[in-house]
Amino acid sequence: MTRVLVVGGGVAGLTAALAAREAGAEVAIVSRGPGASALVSGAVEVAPGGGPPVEAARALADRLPGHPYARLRDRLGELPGALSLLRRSLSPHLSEEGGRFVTPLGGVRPAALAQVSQAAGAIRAGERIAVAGFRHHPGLSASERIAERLAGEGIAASSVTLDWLDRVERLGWTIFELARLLDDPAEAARLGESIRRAKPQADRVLLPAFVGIERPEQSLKLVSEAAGVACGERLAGLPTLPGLRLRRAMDRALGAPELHPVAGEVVELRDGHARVDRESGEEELRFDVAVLASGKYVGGGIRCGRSFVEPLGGLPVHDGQGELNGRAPERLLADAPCGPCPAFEAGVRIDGSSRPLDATGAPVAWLRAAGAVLAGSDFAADGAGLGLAAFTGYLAGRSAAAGRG
Amino acid sequence: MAPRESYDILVIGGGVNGTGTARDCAMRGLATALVEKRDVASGASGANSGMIHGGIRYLPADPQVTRLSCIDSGYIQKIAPHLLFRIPFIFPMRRKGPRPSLVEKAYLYGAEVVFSMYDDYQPFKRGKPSSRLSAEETRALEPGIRPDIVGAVTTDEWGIDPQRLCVANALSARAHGADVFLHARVVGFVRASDGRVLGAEVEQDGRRFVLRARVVLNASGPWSPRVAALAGVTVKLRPGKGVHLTLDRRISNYGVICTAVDGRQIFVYPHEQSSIIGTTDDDYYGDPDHIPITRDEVEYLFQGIESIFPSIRRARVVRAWAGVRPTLWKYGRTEDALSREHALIDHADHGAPGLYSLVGGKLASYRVMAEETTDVLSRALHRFARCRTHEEPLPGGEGVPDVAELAAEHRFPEWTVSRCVYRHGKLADRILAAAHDEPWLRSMLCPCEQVTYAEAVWCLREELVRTLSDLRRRCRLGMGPCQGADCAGAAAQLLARERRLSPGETERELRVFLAERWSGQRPVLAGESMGQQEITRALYRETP
Ligand SMILES: Cc1cc2nc3c(=O)[nH]c(=O)nc-3n(C[C@H](O)[C@H](O)[C@H](O)COP(=O)(O)OP(=O)(O)OC[C@H]3O[C@@H](n4cnc5c(N)ncnc54)[C@H](O)[C@@H]3O)c2cc1C
Ligand SMILES: Cc1cc2nc3c(=O)[nH]c(=O)nc-3n(C[C@H](O)[C@H](O)[C@H](O)COP(=O)(O)OP(=O)(O)OC[C@H]3O[C@@H](n4cnc5c(N)ncnc54)[C@H](O)[C@@H]3O)c2cc1C
Repeated sequence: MTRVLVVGGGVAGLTAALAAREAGAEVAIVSRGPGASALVSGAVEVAPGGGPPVEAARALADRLPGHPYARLRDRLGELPGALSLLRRSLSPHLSEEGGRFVTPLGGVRPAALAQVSQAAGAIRAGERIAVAGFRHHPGLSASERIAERLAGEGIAASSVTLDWLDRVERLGWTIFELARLLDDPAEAARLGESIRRAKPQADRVLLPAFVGIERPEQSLKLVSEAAGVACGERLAGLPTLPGLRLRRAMDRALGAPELHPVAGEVVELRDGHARVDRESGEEELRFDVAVLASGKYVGGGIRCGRSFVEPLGGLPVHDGQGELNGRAPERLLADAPCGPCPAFEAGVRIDGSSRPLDATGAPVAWLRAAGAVLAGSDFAADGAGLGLAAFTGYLAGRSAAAGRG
Repeated sequence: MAPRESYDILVIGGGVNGTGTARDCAMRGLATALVEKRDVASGASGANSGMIHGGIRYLPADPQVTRLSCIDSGYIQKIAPHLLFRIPFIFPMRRKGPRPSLVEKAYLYGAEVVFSMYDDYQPFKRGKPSSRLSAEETRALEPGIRPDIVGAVTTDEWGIDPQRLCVANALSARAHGADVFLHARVVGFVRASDGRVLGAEVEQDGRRFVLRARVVLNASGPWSPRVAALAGVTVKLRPGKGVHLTLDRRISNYGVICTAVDGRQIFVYPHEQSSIIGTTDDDYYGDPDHIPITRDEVEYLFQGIESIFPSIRRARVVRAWAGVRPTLWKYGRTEDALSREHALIDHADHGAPGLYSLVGGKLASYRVMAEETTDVLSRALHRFARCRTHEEPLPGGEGVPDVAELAAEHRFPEWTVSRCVYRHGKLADRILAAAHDEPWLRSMLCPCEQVTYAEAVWCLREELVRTLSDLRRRCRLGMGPCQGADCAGAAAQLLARERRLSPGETERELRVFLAERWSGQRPVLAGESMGQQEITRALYRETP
C-alpha cells in the first residue's frame, strides 16, 4: 500500500486525501490551520462563465496557457468526478447543482456548486426576486443597492426590509451571532414570519448568508415555510459564515480516522520523511509520496520576501509565463489592485501527472502538488477557486496513490 | 453651492495653510471662499509626519523657527486639545567598542546640551524637559533598542492627526460664514486690463464658474508654482519629497530617533493606532499629484531604523506614503538645513496685484502663518479686526469628554469611544447619542480604526465628504492593517445610500478607493501583506 502524506488541510488537501484513500493508499493529512478555503463566499467556482464546468475550465485553459487547467487539459474529463467526491464527502453541505448567484456587491456570479442554502438562492429564469435587508443592521441593509444593481443587469429584482431584528435587544450583532440565533427553529420561524409580514412582491426572497450554522438547509426550510415564499441565501463577503460552514464540514470529513488527520506544521519535507511540529512536540512522518496542497500566500504555501519562495520542497516558483525566482517582487505587481498580476500567479509548475517540476524542469518523483500553490492560478483574476482546488487535489491524490514515478 | 457675487478673500488650497487662513479670515468677518481641487489635507498637509513639534532640528540654524512653533504648538493644544497626543522621544547613541569611548561620551553630552537648549522652549507647549538615560534605563523603557549604546537623551513632542486638523479648520471657516468648495480646481484667473487679479476661474464636476474676490491667496503648497503660473507670475520652491511608512501596529511606546546611512535623523514613533517610520528628504521637481515611491527609499528607511532598532525587519509595513514639502528655494544648503520658514509673496510687484502666495512653513506653525497672512490681507482690504484663532476652540475642541462616562451613557465600548473622542472631541457626545434612536449606527464599519456607522454617518453628513477617500481622511476608515479589505465594500454602500449614488457610481467610488489604497501598499508589498492582498483581491475582484 502506498503511504501518502498530504500537506495542507484546505479543499485541495482534503480532496487529495480522499482521492488517495479511495484509490487504496494509506493516508495522513497534516494541517496547521485554516487557509483560503475558510474564507470563501460559499460558491464552488470552477471557472468564469456559466455552462457545464468542464467546458468553462477548457475555455479558461484556452485563454491562459500557463494555467493549471491548461497543464491538465487532458484530464479535464475527470472534473465532475472530483466535484462529486468533494460533495459526497462534505454531505449535506453542498448542493447537487450550480447556477448563478448574487454577490454582496449585487453582482451575479456563476458557480458549479454552492452551499445548499445558497443554491436555494440561485437566480432562476423568469422569477422575480426580493432582496431582503434589515432596518437595524447596516451590513445587512444594502438590499436596495443590490436590487438596483441586479435590476440594471436585467433581473426582476426589488428590495424588502424586514423587521425581524427590531425586537432584538442587544445591538451590533455580528453575522455569526445572528446565524447562531437562527439555529433555533423558533427563531427561524420568526424570521419567516417577518418575511410574510413584509409581503414581498416576489417569487423568491434572497437573504444574507446567515441562516444557521449547524443545519442551514433545515433552518432555511423553516424560514421558507413560515414566510410562505421560497427563500435562499446570497453569497457572502467577509466575515463569512459560509467559510465557517465549509470549515466545519471539512473538519467533519477530515475527522475520519482513515485519513489520519494530524494537527501541526510540516517544518521539513524530504524524500520519504516529513518533520512535523505539533503541540505535543516534533514528530517524524514517513511516506512514499507527498502531496503539496499548502495554498498560496494565505495558506502559506508560497512566500514572498525579497524573492518568491516555496518553503517546503524548495521548488522553483513560476507565474503563468515563466520563472519568478530571482525576479524582484515589486516588478511583478500590477497597476490595479484587483486585476491580473504575476505576483499572485506565483506557485509551482506541475507536469500532466501533478508532479512538481524542479529547477532543471524535471518532475519530482516523490511529490505531487494541488490547489492554490500551483503556478498560473490566481483566483481573483481567473475565477478558478475551490473548483480548481478540488480538481487538482483529486488528480494529485490519485496519482500519489499510484506510487512514485 | 452657488457662489456669492463677490468675496473679500479667495483662498486657493485646502491644506493646513489654506484652511487655517480661511478660518482666520472668516473669523475676522471677511467674506471668504476656499477652493480645493481635491479634498482638504490631500496634499502635503495629509502626508507629513503628523507632529506638532517645536522643530528642534531647526534650533542650531534658525532658533526663531523653533520658538514660533513652540508657542504655536501651545495654542494648538488650547484650541484642539482632543487632537494632540504626547510622543516622548528617545535618542540613543551607539558605541563601537565594548565600552563607550571618550568621543562617544562627548557626543552624548553634546546631544544633551542641544536638547537642554530646547528645554527652554518646552514650557510654551507643555513639553517635558529632556533627561539623560543610561544604556540600561534606555533598554528598560524600549527593549527593542540594541544593547551596544552609550546611553540616550529624551525629548518630548506632540503628535496630531493632520487630516483632522485641516478638516476642523475648514469646518470652522464654514461655521463662520466661509464658502468651502472642495473637488473644485482653479484653472485660471480673472484679470483686469491693468493685470489686477479679480478672481479665479474654477472647475467643479465638469462645470466652470468664476469666484470673484478683492484679494486672492495662493496657498497651494507644492502646487503653488503651477497656480502662480496661471497668473503669469513665479513662485520658486525647492520641493523636498518625503516618504513615510506605516506599520500594522505600534511597535514601541516611545519615538526612537535613529541615524540614517547618510547621517540624517529619522524616526520610528507611535502615532494613533500604528507606528510610523519617517522620513526621507530629496529634491523633487516632478508632478505633486503622482509622487512615485521606490523600494530604495523604503530600504533607506529600514536600514536607518535597523541601526538602532534591529527587530524592525520583522515588522509588517502596511503602506508607504509620500508628500512634497513646499520648501522655499534657497541656494547652497542641503535639503535638511533648508529653513521651513515661510514667505508671503505679494505679486503686485510682478504685475499681478491682488494676488498673494503663501508658501513654506510647517504644520506646527500653520496658525501663526495664517494670522500673519490674514493681517496683511486685511490691511490690503482696510479691515482691522483682531485675530482670535488662538483663543476660540476649533469645532469639538471646547473640551475633551470623559471616555468612560460617554461609553456608559451611550453604551459603546470604551475603546471605540476613545477613538471617536480623539477625532471629534466634544462632538463625540452628539455623534454617539444618535445611536439611541437609530440602533444600526452602533455597528462597527472599520474595526481596525474603530469607526462606527454613527461616526461615518456624521462625517458623511456634516464634514463635507464626497468620496470614500474623503471619508477616510475624516475618520481614518481603511487606514489600518487590512487597508480597507474589511470596510471598503460596506463603506461604499453607506456612501451610496447617503449620497444616492447609482450602482455604477458606487462601483467607481469603490474602485478609486481601492486603487488609492493599492498605490501605497504596492511599494512595500511583501511577506504577510501578500496574504492580506490575496484576500482583498478575492473580495473585490468585481471591481478591477
Ligand atoms: C477571501 C477569499 C474568498 C474566496 N472566495 C471563493 C469562493 O467564493 N469560491 C471559490 O470557489 N473560491 C474562493 N476563493 C478561492 C479559494 O478559497 C482558494 O482558491 C482555495 O481555497 C485554495 O484551496 P487550497 O486548499 O489550495 O489552499 P488553502 O485553503 O489555503 O489551504 C492550504 C492549507 O495548507 C496549510 N499549510 C500550508 N503550509 C503548511 C505546512 N507547512 N504545514 C501544515 N499545513 C500547511 C494551511 O494551513 C492551509 O490549511 C476565495 C479566496 C479568498 C482568499
Ligand atoms: C514628508 C513631510 C513631512 C513633514 N513633517 C512635518 C511635521 O512633522 N511637522 C510639521 O510641522 N510640518 C511637517 N511638514 C510640512 C507641512 O506638512 C507642510 O509645510 C504643510 O502641510 C504645507 O501646507 P500647505 O497648506 O501649504 O500645502 P498643502 O497641504 O499641499 O495644500 C495645498 C493644497 O492646494 C491644493 N491645490 C493645488 N492646486 C490647486 C488648484 N489649482 N486649485 C485648487 N486647489 C489646488 C492641493 O490639492 C492641496 O490640497 C512635512 C511635510 C512633508 C511633505
